[in-house]
Amino acid sequence: MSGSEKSPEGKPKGQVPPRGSAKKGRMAPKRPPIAASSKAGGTSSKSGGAKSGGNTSAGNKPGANKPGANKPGGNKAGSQPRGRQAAWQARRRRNRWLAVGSVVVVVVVVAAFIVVKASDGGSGGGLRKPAPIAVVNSLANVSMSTLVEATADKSLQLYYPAKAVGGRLTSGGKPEVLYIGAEFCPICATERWAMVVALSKFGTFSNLQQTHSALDDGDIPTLSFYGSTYTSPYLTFVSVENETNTSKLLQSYTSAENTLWKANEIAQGQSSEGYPFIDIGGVLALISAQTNDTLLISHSFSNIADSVGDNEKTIGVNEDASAAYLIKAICGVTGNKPAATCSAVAKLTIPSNTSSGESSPAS
Amino acid sequence: MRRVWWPPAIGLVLSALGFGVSGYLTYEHYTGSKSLSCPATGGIVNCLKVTTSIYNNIHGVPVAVLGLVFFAVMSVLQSPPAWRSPTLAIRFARIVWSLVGVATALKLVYDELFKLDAICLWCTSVHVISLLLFITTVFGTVATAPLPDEFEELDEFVDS
Repeated sequence: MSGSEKSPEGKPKGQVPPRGSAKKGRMAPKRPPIAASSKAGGTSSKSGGAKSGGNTSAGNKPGANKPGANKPGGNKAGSQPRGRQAAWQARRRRNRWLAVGSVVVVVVVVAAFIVVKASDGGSGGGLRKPAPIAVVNSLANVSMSTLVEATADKSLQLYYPAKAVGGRLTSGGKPEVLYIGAEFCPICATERWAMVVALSKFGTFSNLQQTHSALDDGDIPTLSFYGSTYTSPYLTFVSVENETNTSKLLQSYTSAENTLWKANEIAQGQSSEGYPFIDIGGVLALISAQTNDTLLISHSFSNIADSVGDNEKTIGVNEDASAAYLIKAICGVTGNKPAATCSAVAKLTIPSNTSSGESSPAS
Repeated sequence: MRRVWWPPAIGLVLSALGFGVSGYLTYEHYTGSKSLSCPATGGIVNCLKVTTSIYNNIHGVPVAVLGLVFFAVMSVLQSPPAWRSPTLAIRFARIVWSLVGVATALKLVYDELFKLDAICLWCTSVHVISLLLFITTVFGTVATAPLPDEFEELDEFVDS
């Protein structure tokens, strides 16, 4: 800034500056002709000289510095630059505060983002954490009419449960729904959303976990059954999350479960076990997610949770329809109980698969 | 108008940095992000998730390309001649453009934190540059405010 502090008019040193504005830190570069009021500033060298007592001829005369020495009009001419100067300084102050204020607003917004995110539980990394109660309740409360309505969407390309092998599957005198999956598996991640919605119509989950599939395998936000409990008067739900989302052993399945799993995979044309495997009472079995897992990629946990139950959204209509068909399948083993739930899907029929679903290879 | 050295100096350096990073992200965008230098660490940092997400374009235009355009225009607005110019339209355009940059950055940060649960370090550097450009622009604009008589001209210009 200091490098530019010179008198543009190149007047001899000591000469009175043309305006009060030409003081330290400022210069007047090439400017268009100045309006009448500005010209008055230019002529104020007389009054300025009188005011400052500079080296003008008038200033050298005795008494030239006395108030009112330059008249008439000297005071009037001097008050205009002072007025302009004051207005200019006020304007500068206001602009400076505007600048500070605008920067503060932006910084506060960024800080608010960070604070809200930190209080929300931080990053989507890591293994798992308890799922928000609000999300679990929201999934449980999707209405049956919404779920059934989703199945009417002709554009959906779903994969459906097929006939199971291995005989009826029961536990504790109730039909059993067996799930074998893994937290790393993106296909399991996709199917769990529909499973939680469907199973919540027959019982109650507690301590469901929030997790995501492997970072290098979709990183799909989802729920995990690991550590959760499920109570239902109609069925027993057995879940095995075989591996973590970093592919480390988490829960083991029994040899009987493995036999059942392998038999159903082979029956549905697969050569080996893959995640997920869902056996619905030994009547129907699902060896894939019902919908395409790529739909959920790049969506956050809350984004997916908000979409489920909203048939206007692609994720919502796919998960809702998947849940409806799962409910239909489960009603087939619970003797159509509870009646309120099963009557809502009474007219629904589970189509035969026209293509093979995807699954993640089990290690 | 006062001449101040730092707004064009800082503004140009920041614009050049932003242009460079946006260029890199544009290259990665059109080459499938195969050489993107920002591995997923298992935490919130996951560049690939961000740069290949559905939030990586605005009305069909890749965000990286928009960044290139933003910093190219900003380089012009931050140039010494532009800062020396007393033209109100240029001063106004510079502020509005920097505001567009910081508002877009805030929108993208929101998407990253609350929709994707992932942060891209390259994108974050562009967001920080946009914020610094905004700060440089608003304080530079105050520091280079027209002199009192020029304000009268500006007022007349505005009034006209």
